[in-house]
Amino acid sequence: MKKIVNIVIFGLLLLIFGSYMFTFQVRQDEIAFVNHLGKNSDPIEEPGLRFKWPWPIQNVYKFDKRIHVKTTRYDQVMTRNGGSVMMQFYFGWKISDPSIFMERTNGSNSEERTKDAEKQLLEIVDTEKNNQVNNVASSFGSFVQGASAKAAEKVNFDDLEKAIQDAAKGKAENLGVEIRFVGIRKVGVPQSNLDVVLNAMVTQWTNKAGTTIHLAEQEARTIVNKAQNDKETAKQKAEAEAESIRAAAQADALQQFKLMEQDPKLAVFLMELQALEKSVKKQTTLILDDSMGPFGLLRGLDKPQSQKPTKEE
Amino acid sequence: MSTKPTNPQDIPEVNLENESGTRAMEEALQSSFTILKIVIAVLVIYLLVFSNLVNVKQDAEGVIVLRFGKAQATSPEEVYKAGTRFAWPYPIDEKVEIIRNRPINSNVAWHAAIGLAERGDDIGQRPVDASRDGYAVTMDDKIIHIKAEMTYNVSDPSKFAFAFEEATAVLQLILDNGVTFAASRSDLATILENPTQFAENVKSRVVKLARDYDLGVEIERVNVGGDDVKLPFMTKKAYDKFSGVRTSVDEVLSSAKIAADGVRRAIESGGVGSGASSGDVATIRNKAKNEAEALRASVKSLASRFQDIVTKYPDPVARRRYTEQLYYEAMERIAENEDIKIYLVSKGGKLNRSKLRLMINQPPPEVSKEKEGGGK
Repeated sequence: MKKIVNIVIFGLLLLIFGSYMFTFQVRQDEIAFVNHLGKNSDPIEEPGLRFKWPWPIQNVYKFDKRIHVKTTRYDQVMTRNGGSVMMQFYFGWKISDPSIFMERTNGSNSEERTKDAEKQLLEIVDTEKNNQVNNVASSFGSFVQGASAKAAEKVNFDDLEKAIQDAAKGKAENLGVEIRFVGIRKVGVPQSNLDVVLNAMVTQWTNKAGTTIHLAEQEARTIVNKAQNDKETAKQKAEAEAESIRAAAQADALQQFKLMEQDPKLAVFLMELQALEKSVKKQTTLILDDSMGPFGLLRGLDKPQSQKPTKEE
Repeated sequence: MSTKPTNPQDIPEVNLENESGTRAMEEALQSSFTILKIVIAVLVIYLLVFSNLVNVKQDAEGVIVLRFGKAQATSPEEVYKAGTRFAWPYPIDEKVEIIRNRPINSNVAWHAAIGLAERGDDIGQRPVDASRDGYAVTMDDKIIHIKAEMTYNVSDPSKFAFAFEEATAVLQLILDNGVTFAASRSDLATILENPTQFAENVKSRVVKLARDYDLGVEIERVNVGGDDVKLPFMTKKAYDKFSGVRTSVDEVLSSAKIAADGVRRAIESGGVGSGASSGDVATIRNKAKNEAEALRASVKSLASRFQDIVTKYPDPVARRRYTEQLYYEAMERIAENEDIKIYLVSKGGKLNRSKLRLMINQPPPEVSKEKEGGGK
C-alpha cells in the first residue's frame, strides 16, 4: 500500500515538473516563438498546449497579440499659419508580423520588446500627427465648426485621424505592427490664447448685455410710440366724424326751427321755459335780480308789450 | 574487563512495564497521521474541484474558460449563462471573467478638483489652468467644462476579452473623443440649455467609433446632466448677467406690446383698456351721437309742443293766454319745490348798488357721473 502511494506521489511530481519543463501554453490572445539554440521558429498563433525541450535547448517568447492602446502627450502642434493648437491623440496597435517584430524590437523578454515597440510607435505617430495637422489646419478655428474659420479650411476629425493612420502605416509595418486606429482625444489652445479667449468671452457677454437692453428699450419705445400715434390718428378721425354728426343734428334742428318761425315769440318762450325747468331741479339756490333772463319771467310777463294787441295777435 | 554473556540464560530480563506506553504513543501518532492524511486529501479535493468554481450572476457577468490557453465556449449565450461553473485548476484551466456592463466616465473636458485653499478664495476669479483643467471648445469659440457618463453592454465577449488588451481603456478614449467632437459641433447656448441633445450627439459619435474599432460592445446610454456642464468660473458672472438681460428684454418688450395692444384695443373697441385714455374714439363718437340725439330730441319735443299749441290755439290772443298759464304753472312748480330757494334782489342804480348778504346753508349740489361723461 505504501509503495503504491509513493509511486502515485512520485508520478504526480514527475507529471508536474515534466509538464513545466517540456510543455507550454499559447493563450487565446498570444503569439509565441520557440527559440531553438538562438534561432527563432515560425510564429505560433493557434492557442493550445505545445511541447518543447527544456531550457537551454529551447526558450519560449510570448507576445500579446491583442490591440494595445497608447496616448500621445497633450502637446502643442503647429498649424499652417504659424499658430499652434494643443492636441492629444490616441492610437491602437497590434503585432501584424511577429517575425519582423522580433527582429526590429529590442529587449531581453517580450515585455521589454513591447515597450520598445510602443516607444518607437509613439515617435512615429507624433511625427505624423504634426505633419498632418500642419497640412490641414490653418488655425485653431479649423477644428471647430463655427464661423472663425472658412468652410473650406474646416478640419474633418475622421479625415485627419485617417490621414495620420495612413501616414504612419508604412513605418509601423517596418516594425512588424499594424496601427488599427488613431483618434483625437482632446483639442485645446495654448495657455496664453486660453486667457485671451476667456477674457473675450467675459467682454463679449458684458457688452452684449448692455447693448441688448439698450436696443430692447429702444424697440419698446418705438412700439409704444407707434401705438400712441395710431391712437392720435384714430382720435382725429373720430373728432371729424363727431363734428359731422353734430352738424347733421344741427341741420335737422334748423329744419325744425324753420317750422317755428310762424310764432317766434312762442318758440322763444317755450325754449326759455324748458331751460328754466331743466336748470332748477333740486338743491338749487337762485339769487336773481330783475334783469336776468330767462329768469326775467319771474318778474312776470312783459306787460306793456303783452297788453298791446299786435297785428300778429 | 567485562565479559559478554554468551549464555541466553545470562541475558538480563527486560522491563516490560513501559511497552504499553510506547504502544499507546505509536497508536496516537498513527491516528494523527491518519487525520493529517484526511486533511491533505480534503485540501487536494478542494484545490482540484472547488477552488476554481465560479458563480456567474444573471445579466451582470460572464466567464470564458481557457483550457490549456484555448477558449472553450465563446458564444454570448454560453459565456453569460448564469449559475456555477466548474474549471480545473491552473494550468489546466484559466478563467477570464467579463463584467457585462459598467459605467465609463469622461473627465477629459472637466476642471480639476477645487482645492481647499481655492475654496476660500473668490471662485469667480479662478482662471482655467491648461495644465490641470480640462475643457472643450464649442462651435462658437467658447470654452466650457463638460463631463459625461456612458454605459455599455458587451455583446461579443470573445472580441471584448481577446481582441483588446484593455477594452475599457479604449471605451474611455472613444468617449473622450465623442465629447470633444460633439462640443466642436455645438454652440454654447445649445449645450447649456439642452444637455440631453448634446449627450445624444456624443452617443452618435461613440457608437460610430465602437463599430469602426469592432469593440464587440453596444453603447446603451450616454448621460450628460445639467450639473455636468459648467462655464469656466471666471466667466460665469458675465454669462449670468447676459442671461438675466435676456429675461429683462423679454419683459420690456412684452410690457411694451401689452401697452400698445391696450392702446389699440381701446381705440378699436372703445371698451375698458389700460391707462386713463381708454375708449377715447368711441367716447368721442358716442358723445357726439348723444349730443346730436339730445339736440334732436330736444328740438323735436319743442317743435311738437309748439305745433300742439299753435294747432290748439290758432288765435294769437288765446295762445298768449295759454303761455301765461304755462308761465304761472311753471312758477308754481318751482315755488313748491322744497329743494329750491329763491332770493330776489333789487338791482339798484349805478350809484346805489345793492349789497347782498347771504347765509347759504345748502350743501353744494353733487356732480353726477353722467354729467362728467356725457355732458348731458
